Amino acid sequence: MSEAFTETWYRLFLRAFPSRHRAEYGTEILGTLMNDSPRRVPSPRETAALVTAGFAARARKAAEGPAPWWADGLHLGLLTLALANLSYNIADQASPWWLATSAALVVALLRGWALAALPLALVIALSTGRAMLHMLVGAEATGWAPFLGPAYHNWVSLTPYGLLAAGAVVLAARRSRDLRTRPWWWLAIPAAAFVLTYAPGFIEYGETWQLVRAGTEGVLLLAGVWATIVARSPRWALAAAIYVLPGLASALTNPPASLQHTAYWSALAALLLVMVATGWRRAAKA
Amino acid sequence: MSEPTYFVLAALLDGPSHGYGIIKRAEEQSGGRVRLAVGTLYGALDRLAGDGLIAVDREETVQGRPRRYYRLTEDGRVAVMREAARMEQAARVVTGRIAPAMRTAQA
Repeated sequence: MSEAFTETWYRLFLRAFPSRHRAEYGTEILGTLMNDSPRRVPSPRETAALVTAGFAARARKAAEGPAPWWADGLHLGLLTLALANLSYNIADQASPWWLATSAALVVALLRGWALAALPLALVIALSTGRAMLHMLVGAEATGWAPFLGPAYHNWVSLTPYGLLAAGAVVLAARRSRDLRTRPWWWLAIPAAAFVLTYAPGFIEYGETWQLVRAGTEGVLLLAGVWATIVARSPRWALAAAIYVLPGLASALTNPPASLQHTAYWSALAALLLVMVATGWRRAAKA
Repeated sequence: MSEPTYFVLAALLDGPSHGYGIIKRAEEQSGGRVRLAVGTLYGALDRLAGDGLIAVDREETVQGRPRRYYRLTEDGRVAVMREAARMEQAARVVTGRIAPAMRTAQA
C-alpha cells in the first residue's frame, strides 16, 4: 500500500466531519496524519477517531442550529414517520399517485419546507383514516379510491398518521423558516425498501424485511443515544419518542404473539428510555 | 473539564504548539495515559477555539501543507489553572489522610 492510498483513505473518512470543519481543519488534519507520523498503511485507531470525532462534531452542530430543540426534534420525528410510511407503501406496491404523495412529503421534510409538508401530511392522515372517518361522519369519497393508499380500521394503527398531521400543523404554525435541510442519505431507507420489495424471492414483510427494519431502527436509536450524550440535547429523544411510541401503543394493545416480537419492542422501548434519561440528565447538567 | 481537554490546554502552557506537538506533549505530560488521535484532537481544538480558550498564533507550510500553531488565551490559562487547583484540592482530601496514616503505620 502506498502513501497515496493512505491519504485517500483518510480523506474519505474526513467526510464524517461537517463541511465547515473540513474547510477549517481538513488539510491540517491530513498534514498531521501524513507528515508527522508517516505511515504506508492507514491506522485503524486514527480512522475510528476520524469517524467518532466527525459524527460528534455533526451532533454538536445539529444542536447549535437556529431552530429550538423541540422544533428540530419534532421535524426529525416527522421525517422518520414519513420515511416509514413511504417504505411501507413501496412494499405494499401502492398506486403511483400515492407513492408520489408519500415521496413528496419525505422530500418536503428533508428540505425543511414546513408549509409544503402540511397539506401532504394532512392528505396522508385523512386518507389512511378514511374508514374510521366514514364510521364517524358517514361520508365516503369513493371516487378518490384509485388515488389513495391503504386505510386502517382502528385508531391505534392511525396514531402515527395523526402524529404526522398534528406535528406538521405545529411546524407550519411556527411560521419560521429555520428548519434544517437534512442530508439526502435518509433516502437510503426507502431505497432499501425498494430493493427488498423487488428482489427475487422476496416475501412480503418476511424475515429479511423484519431484520433490515430492526437493524435500521437499532442503529438509528443507538446513534441518537450517542448524539444525546455528545451534544447534551433532548432533541433526539423527542424524535425517537415520536417514532417509537405509536408502535409501542400498538404492541401493547395487540400484544405480539412471538417471543421475538416481544424482545424487539422491549429493545426499542429500552433504547428510547435510555435516550430520554440521557437527554434529561445532560440537559440538567448543561 | 475532561482529562484530554485538560492535557491539551496544559500542553500549551509553555507556549504555542502545532497539532502533532500537542499530541506528543499531552502524551508525555500524562505519563502516556492520554494518547490523542488526530481527529479527536482537532475536534477538541475546534471546541476550545469556539469557547475562546485557545487561538491560532501563526501558520506555516510544511511539505506543502498548512501547519497552524495554537496558543492559550487568557481565558484558557485561567480555565486550566482553575481546573488544576480544583484537582489539587480534591487530591489533598485523600493525600492529607493517607500521609499521617502511613507515618503511623511506619512508626
